[in-house]
Amino acid sequence: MAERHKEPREAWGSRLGVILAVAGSAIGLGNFLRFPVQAARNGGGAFMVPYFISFLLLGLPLMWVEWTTGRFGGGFERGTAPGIFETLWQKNRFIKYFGVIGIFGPTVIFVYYTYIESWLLGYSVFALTGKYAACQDQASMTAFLHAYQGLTQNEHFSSISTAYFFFLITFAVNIGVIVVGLRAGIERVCKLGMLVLFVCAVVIMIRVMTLGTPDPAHPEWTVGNGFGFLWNPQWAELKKAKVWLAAAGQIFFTLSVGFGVILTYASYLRKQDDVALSGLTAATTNEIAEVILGGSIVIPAAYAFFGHQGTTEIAAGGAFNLGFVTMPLVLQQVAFGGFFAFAWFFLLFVAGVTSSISLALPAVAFLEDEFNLDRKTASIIFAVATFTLCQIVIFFLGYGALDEMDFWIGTVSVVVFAAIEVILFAWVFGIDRAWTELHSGSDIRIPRIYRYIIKYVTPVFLFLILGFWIVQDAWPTLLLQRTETQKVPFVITLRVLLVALFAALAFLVWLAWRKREGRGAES
Amino acid sequence: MTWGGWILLAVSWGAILGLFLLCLGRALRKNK
Repeated sequence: MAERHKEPREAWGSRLGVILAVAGSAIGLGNFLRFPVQAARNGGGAFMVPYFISFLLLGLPLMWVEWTTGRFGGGFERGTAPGIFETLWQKNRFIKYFGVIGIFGPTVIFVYYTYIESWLLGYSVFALTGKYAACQDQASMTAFLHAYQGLTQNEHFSSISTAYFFFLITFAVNIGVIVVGLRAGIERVCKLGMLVLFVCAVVIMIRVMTLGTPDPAHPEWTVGNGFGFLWNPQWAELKKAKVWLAAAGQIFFTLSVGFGVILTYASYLRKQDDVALSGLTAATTNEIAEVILGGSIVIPAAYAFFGHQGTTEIAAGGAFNLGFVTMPLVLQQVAFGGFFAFAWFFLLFVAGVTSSISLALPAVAFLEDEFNLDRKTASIIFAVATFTLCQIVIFFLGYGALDEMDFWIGTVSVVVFAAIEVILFAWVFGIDRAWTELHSGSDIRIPRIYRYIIKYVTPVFLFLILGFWIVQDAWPTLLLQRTETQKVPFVITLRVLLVALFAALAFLVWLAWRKREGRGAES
Repeated sequence: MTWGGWILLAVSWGAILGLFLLCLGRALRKNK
């Protein structure tokens, strides 16, 4: 393999660059689709109480933990969780294997996320060409989506070839950005991407807010009442544990904490670069996209066209329906709808790209840092491996491949990984050293109460979430109680594949450490 | 929308926008 002489690791070009890269990683489909659905289903405005509490007790502390440990590890030229965990707990020989989750998780998510991202590129083009213009109701728009995904055949698509074509473009874009490098690729794309995303989102938000009462036959179907659907508080809902879990889960999804991607991004910081203010700025940028922009588009628009009952059913149908079925239907009914629909899908596509490149980076950085490969070689190895895995998601979508991967990686492993991180940081590395490291080069002083939050509250919060998820979801899912009978053999095969992938990554970690020890002995 | 909804919306938007502008302003002062 093409080994290189050890060169200095890349570094971010500017503070704004790294803030926008982390914000870009965090801002994804979840901000515009998942958040409004979760809020509408879990108490409306009252949802914001557990949401903000989770943000302060879970999201922000984990954000700071990942920024600090990432920068700390980067100082030892270790940019991924196995190496970073070892720098935090040097005496432990096994901790590096827990760090495998921080490469495995982002890689698996990259595999299915890139495919979903490619649908958005496809729909951006369809919005301009009017490909789905004939679909005038939920059923026909759903049929259009299913045919595009290759689940059925109809007058719109006779095979999966169109979806595959857009997937190839999307995959190439992602790998291309990674190959170009940190500063010229990721940083530049995120700066431009965030600008495009916010402009598109503000344009659509203004259009939605000026919809008024589009259907005179239903004077109560207004955008104002749509905001009420999302924001009117149902305080009684706060007594339910599921509402608090939903809020905590949303904070995980939205801030990209617990994945390992922020660790890698932060590892390219310099030793004296600020992390406290930059982490906070990235987190608040994400909240603008989620609460202000994300909360002002899909639900108010759906309410104005489908009313209370219709929006309730749409929200119950899930985030994907809202994005790929409801929004194009709504935007078909406004003037210049093709343009607005293009803006909608393209903003989601851009949000997807800035997230997926961050998901690709840990594995690529691992190959670079631990096997001394150059960026191009590492990217090609990553591309070949993930392209192969993508075929499973593309051709076995109807067998629940996406849901299975999303539950184990996107839901469970992020909480496990976050718990390991925070315990390593506050208890093993030690809260005193951790606090000093967090404030090294810092432009702000974090309130002292966060010492106690990071040490006690965040870990307890994480274990509570984990406990509830194990009781409510993990056990029945593990035993395939919720899987349709005909899908069971496929789901089992997929699980074997995921375990094999994890084992392969663990083997690579073992191999890299052996090589490193060999080099250490030689020198 | 009820008064409770408006208040929650205003407080949430205000808190997020305020914190964001404060952070961004300080971060950009040292954007090296």
